[in-house]
Amino acid sequence: MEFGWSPEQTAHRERVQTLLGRELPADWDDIAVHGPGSNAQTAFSKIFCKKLADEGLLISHWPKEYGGNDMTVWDQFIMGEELWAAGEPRGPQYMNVNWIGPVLMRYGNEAQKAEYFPPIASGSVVWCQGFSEPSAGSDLASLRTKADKVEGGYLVNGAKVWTSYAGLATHCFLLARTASAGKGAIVILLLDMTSPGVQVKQIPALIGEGDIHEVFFTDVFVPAENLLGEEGQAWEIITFALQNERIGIPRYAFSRRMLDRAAEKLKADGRFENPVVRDRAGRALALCEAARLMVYRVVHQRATKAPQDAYGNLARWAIIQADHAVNDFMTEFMPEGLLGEDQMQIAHHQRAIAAGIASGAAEIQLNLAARRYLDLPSEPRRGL
Amino acid sequence: MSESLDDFRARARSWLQENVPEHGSPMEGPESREYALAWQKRQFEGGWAGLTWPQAYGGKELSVLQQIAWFEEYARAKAPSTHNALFVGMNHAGPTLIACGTDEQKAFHLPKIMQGEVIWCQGFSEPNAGSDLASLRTKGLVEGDELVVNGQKIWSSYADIGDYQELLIRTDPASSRHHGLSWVICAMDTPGITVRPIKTMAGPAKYAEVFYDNVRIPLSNIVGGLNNGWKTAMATLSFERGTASLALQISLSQRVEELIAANDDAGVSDTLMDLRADAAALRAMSYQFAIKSETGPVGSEGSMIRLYFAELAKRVASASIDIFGIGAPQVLAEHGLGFDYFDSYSETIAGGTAEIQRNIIAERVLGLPRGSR
Amino acid sequence: MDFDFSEDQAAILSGLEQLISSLNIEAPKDAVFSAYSHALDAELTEGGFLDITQQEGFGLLDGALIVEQLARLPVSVEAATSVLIAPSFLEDTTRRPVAILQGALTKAARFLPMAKTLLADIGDDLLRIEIPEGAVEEVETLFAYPYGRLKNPEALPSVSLGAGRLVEFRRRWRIAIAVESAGLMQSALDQVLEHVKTRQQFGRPIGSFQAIQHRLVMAAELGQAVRWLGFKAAWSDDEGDAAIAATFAQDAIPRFCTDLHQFCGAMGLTLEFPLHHWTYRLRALLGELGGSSAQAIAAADAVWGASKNV
Repeated sequence: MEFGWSPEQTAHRERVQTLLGRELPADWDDIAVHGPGSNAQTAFSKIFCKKLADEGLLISHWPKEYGGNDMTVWDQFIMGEELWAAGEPRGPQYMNVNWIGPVLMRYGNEAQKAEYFPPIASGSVVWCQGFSEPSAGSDLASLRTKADKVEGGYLVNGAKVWTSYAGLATHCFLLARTASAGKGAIVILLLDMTSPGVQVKQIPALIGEGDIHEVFFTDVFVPAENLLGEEGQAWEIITFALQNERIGIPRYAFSRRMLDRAAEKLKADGRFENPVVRDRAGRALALCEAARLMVYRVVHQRATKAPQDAYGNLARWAIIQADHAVNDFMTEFMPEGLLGEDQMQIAHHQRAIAAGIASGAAEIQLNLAARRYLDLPSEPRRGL
Repeated sequence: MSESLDDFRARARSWLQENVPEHGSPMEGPESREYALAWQKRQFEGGWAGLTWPQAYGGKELSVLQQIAWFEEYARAKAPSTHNALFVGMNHAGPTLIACGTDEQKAFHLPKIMQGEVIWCQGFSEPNAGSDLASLRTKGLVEGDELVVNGQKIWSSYADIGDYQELLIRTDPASSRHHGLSWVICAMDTPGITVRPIKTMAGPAKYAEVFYDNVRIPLSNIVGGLNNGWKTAMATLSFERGTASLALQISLSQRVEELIAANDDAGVSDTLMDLRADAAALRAMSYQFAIKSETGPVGSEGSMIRLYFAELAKRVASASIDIFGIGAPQVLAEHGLGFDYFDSYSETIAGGTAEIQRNIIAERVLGLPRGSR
Repeated sequence: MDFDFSEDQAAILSGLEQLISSLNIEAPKDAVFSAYSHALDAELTEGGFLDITQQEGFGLLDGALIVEQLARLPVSVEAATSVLIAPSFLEDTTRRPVAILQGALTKAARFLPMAKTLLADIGDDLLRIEIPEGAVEEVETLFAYPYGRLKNPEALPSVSLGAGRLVEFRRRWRIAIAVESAGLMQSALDQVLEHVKTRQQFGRPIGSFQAIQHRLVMAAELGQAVRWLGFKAAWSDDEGDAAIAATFAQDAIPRFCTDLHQFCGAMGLTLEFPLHHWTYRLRALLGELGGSSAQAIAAADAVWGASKNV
């Protein structure tokens, strides 16, 4: 057991920091405040991801056979930590490289790989995730979007909601229900967002601009070759996808950066002399660092190829606590920032509000950890 | 012509000044019984017992506002905590008898309680019927004009020093859950009763297990009707959840004020101010509830007050240690703040756990759908 | 970055486990408020576990692993101070157990009844005091550690180690608080998990109620975070890491203890249920070094620089 970085890891972190220092424009903060799903940041992501690709860093954690460089799990994570702290200049494309790609490697056929990898590798596409529905949020299994089998493919009808990045997405990783019963009922379709019958509506929301949408499907034809895996394999694929998605995001890094920023501002104003302010800042700091170590423990598990346990769910809970504590701290002691003075603080505030809700509600994390980490008996689903 | 509230308060204050015992109560055993009874007798003789109880049985039938004024003065005078051996008699058994008892039961028991002659204890929980009270199994079979009781109760506060017990048992052997129960007055000196005190982690033996081996109780001791015990027991618990903790709440806010006066550490003063604000909010909720309860039936808001009080009591106990520091004499002393702290853990468990209170609030106050239990 | 034990670490812990199991340590059955295991103390000394940090190739983290394991036992033994704090401040490390206190010398301190040395942070100096026989009166407490108080501190000669040593002393103390808390929390959680899986109410184990499951996961998360923060601080021996770990631990303890007791109902309030062996001690650690606010302020100062004269 030890908690240090190797010289190679330190050099790698510095390389990413140098790259960020060089490639982020002077007005980057003004772009980043709009959130990864905004037009501004998505537009910038196409420039930035191309730079990353040129540096060999965009998909360097992918295996060599897919154009990657077999970068270690820790190096990939270190890069993610730096990028996230900087406001995620990859914009929505972090999803492509973190989990869409790996899922396609494992479950896609050769034709799909050939079609989808090159644009991801060059940083020119945006994928969105078509999971949640108006009646299927935390309870994903109750989804209703239909995929009826027709000649040569599927006809999709229904609606998805809370879909991040849909407004600018070129592709959608779509969950839908076929007429078959049981396990085979759910399928994953790789949908072209320009298909006729797809309509995207942005939802005005508390969180960042362009972050959530409704997507409507009216008789959208999806060719059979766009089915990922086989019918009946959907849950397995989703479980794999979520493992890759949820651990990859070191959200606490942004909160910690905001807390550092807040401390500097409060010091400059002389307000940091108040022991209550430092007390509360210290507690928020402890929560950020706890979340960091909990996430590191998950990354370690992956780096050593140990079986995945439910530590990721515990870590998600830790991250939510950290996000909220930093947000609460700044809201209480620097309310002026939320009154238009500090766009970054506003952006953090918006993301912190969503922290316990987006990509698997906090309660679902707690349920999963209760069963898989503490081995507690399941709650009966209905009645006695 | 009735006395004004201010005059009443002044009279209470001066009586308390002269009569509050110099020393606190022993923590357990026969000494704590004698202490509690003597103090109750003194209050009765001074005309301060059973303030809201019916005049027909020796009570004063005063208004809730007068009761509140009394409790406020009581706390100010640092009179013995009402969370003592008299608690069950004053706050459970007495009010339950007033609400559901027969004239004979009231005439016999209420004066004894008020005059400081008897200690009551509770006999609801069983080893396998805690939060799930309706699953209790202690049986009382009707034989002639008696019930023959067999079984076991647990967490029976003051059973080792009690004269009577409010006993909830299954009197219809074919029944299940809430049906077929009876609320019975059990004299603790009846043959067949064995009491085993249980030491708590706060120190003293505050609880006990009680075993019943063919204990014969007259049918005339049933309160609220044979096989109607659930309703009677819910009345008992609603007293506890409602106004019973009024005195305790008032002394809790008094304690917060004492902590504020004793504290010289700026680092904890914001915590103390939070506690002061919460104590004031609790009292406001509670006074409003008490005044409302005078004029008609009240809802399940009592559970909110009970829960709020319980959690606040724990926070105050915890803050007390923080203020003096873990090694301070006030904390380490026998029956000191350390004792109070561990004792406060029982606040969110006894009389219905915080989880049960939250279920009641969710379902009956907020109108949320009932979960599966 | 490696969260698994190294071979050496695994070997030490397995040796410790053997030692513990050979002693057949059981939870005290009676109302023992200060169950100190002298037998364990002797074996640990004999086995060289308490001076591990002075051995070639081992460091503070290895000591922390031992302290965390020992805290899981239902009895107490003075290990945290001897392993994590004392080596830097004692000339003769055999003069243990070691008691530590902050503030006036008249205050009660953990392990003082059996201590041979006291290290006292009196605000402007760090004192080392050798404790002769009979100099301490025992203090009865509820905290499951033996507490004592110096009868006549004026009469005892003390060595001034200087105010300059206070930073290191407090840093190590903070690490010790976090690491010991982690072990205590783990055992407390294990007790409660067993209880909620077996205790039935409403026809099902109470551990199947979501209201309880969620809070148990939160408690587990607190325990894990304290553990990693404590170990990391021991590894780095860094001012900020130590204060952060102690802040998190002391901040978590009240919620952790009250929730765990809550799930055991009245049973958990009795001395017949073993939970108090660990929660008593957690509560005692909560109040050390001025409590969570003092640690949080120290963390803020360590990370963002002292507040004054910016």
